[in-house]
Amino acid sequence: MLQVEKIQFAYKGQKILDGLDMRLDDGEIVGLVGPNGAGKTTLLKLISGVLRPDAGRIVIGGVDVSSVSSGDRAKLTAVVPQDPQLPLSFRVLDLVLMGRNPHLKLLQWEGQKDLEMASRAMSLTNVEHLADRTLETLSGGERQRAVVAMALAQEAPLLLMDEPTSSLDLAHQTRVLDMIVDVQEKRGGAVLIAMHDLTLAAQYCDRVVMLSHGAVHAEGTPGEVLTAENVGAVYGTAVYVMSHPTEGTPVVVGTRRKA
Amino acid sequence: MMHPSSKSGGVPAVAVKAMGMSYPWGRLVAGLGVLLLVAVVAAGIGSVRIPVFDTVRIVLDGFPGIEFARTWEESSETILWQLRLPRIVLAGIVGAGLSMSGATYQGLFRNPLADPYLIGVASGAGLGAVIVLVTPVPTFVQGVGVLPVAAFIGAMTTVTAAYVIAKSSDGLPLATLILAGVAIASLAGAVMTLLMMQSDSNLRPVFSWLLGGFLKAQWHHSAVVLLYLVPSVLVMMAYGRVLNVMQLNEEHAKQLGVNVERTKILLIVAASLATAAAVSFSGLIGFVGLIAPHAVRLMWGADYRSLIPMAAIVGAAFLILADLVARTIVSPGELPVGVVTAFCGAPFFLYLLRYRRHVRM
Repeated sequence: MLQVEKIQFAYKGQKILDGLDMRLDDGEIVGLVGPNGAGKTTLLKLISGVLRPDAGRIVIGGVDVSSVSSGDRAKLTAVVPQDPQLPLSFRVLDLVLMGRNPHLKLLQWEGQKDLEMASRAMSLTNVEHLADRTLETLSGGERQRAVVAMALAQEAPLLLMDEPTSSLDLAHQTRVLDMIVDVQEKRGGAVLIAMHDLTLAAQYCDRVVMLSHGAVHAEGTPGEVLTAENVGAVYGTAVYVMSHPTEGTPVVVGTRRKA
Repeated sequence: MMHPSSKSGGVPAVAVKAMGMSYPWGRLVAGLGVLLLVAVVAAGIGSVRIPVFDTVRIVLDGFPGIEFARTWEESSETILWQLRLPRIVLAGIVGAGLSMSGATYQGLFRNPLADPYLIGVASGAGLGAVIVLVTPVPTFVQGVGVLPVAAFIGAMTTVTAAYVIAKSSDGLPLATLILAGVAIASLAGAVMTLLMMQSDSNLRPVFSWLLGGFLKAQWHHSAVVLLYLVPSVLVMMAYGRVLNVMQLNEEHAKQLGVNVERTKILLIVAASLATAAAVSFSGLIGFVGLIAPHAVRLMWGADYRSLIPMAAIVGAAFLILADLVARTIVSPGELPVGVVTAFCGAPFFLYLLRYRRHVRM
């Protein structure tokens, strides 16, 4: 589904990604973790085509994307940004239909098929009943689901999400991630999620890729990657890793400096 | 949290209701009808009143293949075809051009305060005009007015300078473009003031041009403005849906497959050309390009596919009416039309700010 090979990327002379390799298979939900500045967001932007790598190769669905137009790129990857700016006077349906942009020609209006794809996407994220509401009348969680619906309407096999839960409360965090798992099961494809919360990453991801200083530090199942050694080394702080009482996945907690 | 029942692939009621995802022709045709009505009524009003019925027949009579029995005054025909119609048509075209450019800039810069003069068109045009009006530069060369040409060149020069300064290797940052435009505009404004202070000539024509007006409107002015306006309008209208997507922000639009850099350049060129052409004959008419798009947004929503053409219609009607007031209210004298648009426009805008705070772009 996705191969990232020996990616180099520097911004204003500062190396951000240094020979990064990773892959994602169809049907996987993979968590991208690592401290601030490790290169998670940069990697997502390189994969989605907002940034271009200085060296290395990105292949999505068998296509080397370096020579693909932005329109065709958007048919391969859809992005849920960390903090999307939404035109608040638009309706949810208008927003979701924007996801059809890569499939439409300049002068073309959304047709029957686009409306079908939009309504399917809205039903997957459970915002169908909000279709006629304007975005300004929605709660934060509803807006988030509308943005996910827009990304799904793109019909791209690879879904990238940047910190989808960072601004949500505990209940909404699990709800959004439950929804992602559900969506992935129903429509297939692969999902790559950048996450700060290691415990949530462990609960929801099939695999975890841990970045440090622009390269992969560890990669594997949550149990393999989220060890006290790995987390302690990469984040530079002492942590304890326990086991989730019902799910058995790693639960990562930090420690106070001054107790 | 997922409803198993919502898995079905059928089109739900809400989407069916939205099947009208096609051009709002009804609204557009109704708008054009109202605009035509405004133009006809405005044409009849003035120092000599011409009944609406006569106006319609005189106008229709002017088209080849349509003949009416000439029951009207000969002078009415002259007044309409030589004086009022050129004026009304030019006012309509300029109003449409400024409003569409304003709507486009507001969408592109995602800024409700953007107007067609945002990145320096006005001060560039003003400097060009002042050079012709207060320096020994000839006002006519071989019978062609130099002022509109100078205003147009001035406008395009400032925009181009702002563009060149803001452009960087990885694209065109719009915030930098605005700042560069503002800085160049104040530079041009300073030169303009200096020229005016240095000259001993009568500054009345300068002020009158800076406030805008259609006193000397002629048919060929409309023809020249249209020459620039038509291609610009086509570009702005074609990019309506893309402008909607651009409301998300540049990065997100790019992830949705929009060629962001090409879109920005095309729209800036189109809107700037349309604005420069509009002001070169009419002077710097304010507020139309700011207010008409907002009024349309309030009435029919922010979808740029309908916003841009509707802003053109509303802007055209508004400027025709403003010009009607300008030429009749202190008759036989005349007000600069910019004074009228500011008089109506500023309170309207303050009303929007005060009572429609929740109004979003």
